[in-house]
Amino acid sequence: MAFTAWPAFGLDSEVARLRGEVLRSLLEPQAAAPGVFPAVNIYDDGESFLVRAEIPGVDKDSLEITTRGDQLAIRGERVPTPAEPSASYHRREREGGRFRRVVTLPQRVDADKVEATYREGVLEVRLPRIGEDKPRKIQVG
Amino acid sequence: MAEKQNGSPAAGAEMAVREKREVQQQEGTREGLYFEPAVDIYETGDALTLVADVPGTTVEDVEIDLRDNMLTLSARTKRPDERWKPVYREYRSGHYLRQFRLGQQIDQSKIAARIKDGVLTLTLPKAQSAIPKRIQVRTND
Repeated sequence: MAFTAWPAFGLDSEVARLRGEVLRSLLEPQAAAPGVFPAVNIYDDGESFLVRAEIPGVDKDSLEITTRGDQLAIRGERVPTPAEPSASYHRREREGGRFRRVVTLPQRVDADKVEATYREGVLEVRLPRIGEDKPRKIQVG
Repeated sequence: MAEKQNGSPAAGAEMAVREKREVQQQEGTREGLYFEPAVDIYETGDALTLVADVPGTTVEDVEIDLRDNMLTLSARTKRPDERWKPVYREYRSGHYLRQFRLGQQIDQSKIAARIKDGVLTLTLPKAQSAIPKRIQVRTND
């Protein structure tokens, strides 16, 4: 019977390659669909998810954050700075307008314990995983 | 995109994600990722004003350098907390860097900067010699 041994390094490197691919697909910036704002990043510390978005110049009171199940909705408005009547513009790249974004989280979260902060133009929403979905550490007796 | 209303540039408009522009810099000049912040630049009779989106920074993180009419704006952001493992990413974070050639003489001693909600407003007062003076036209009679 023919037996082909896998060279050990070959398998290892294949595993490493696949792991690398999975990590890359998770970590490479995904292009947000056109017309979507803001772009978000999602982080995890085992207990909670953290959704972060850079939305400088937004009035905090215009921000509306809602959660339901595994969905987080972010709404707000960025009001453009009114132009000074006597000013002449050399560049105008900053945009204003309304935005609404719904983000699907990797798991359901505890809607009652969601906390949001807006500091230095960065929105951070912390969403604790719901009890039974939390990875539990099992003691080995 | 919604229609413009009441002449205000973005009333009712919806915002869309604009991809961050990474600064292509010569190797070894600065450490880390740098992005070009979106800016508005306008000019009034006595000053140039630059408004830049620099989320995640405070005024202490900003460095302004002006020499030979070349204005360099840089701002360093803090390193994110390692406890949060990224699970999904739509945007990259980094520092900010952008240069502008100014067509005006600026009074260096009067440059003022402030940041609110990740928006930097830089006021660059024109040097006295650059402020247009109204010349009284005399006639002989």
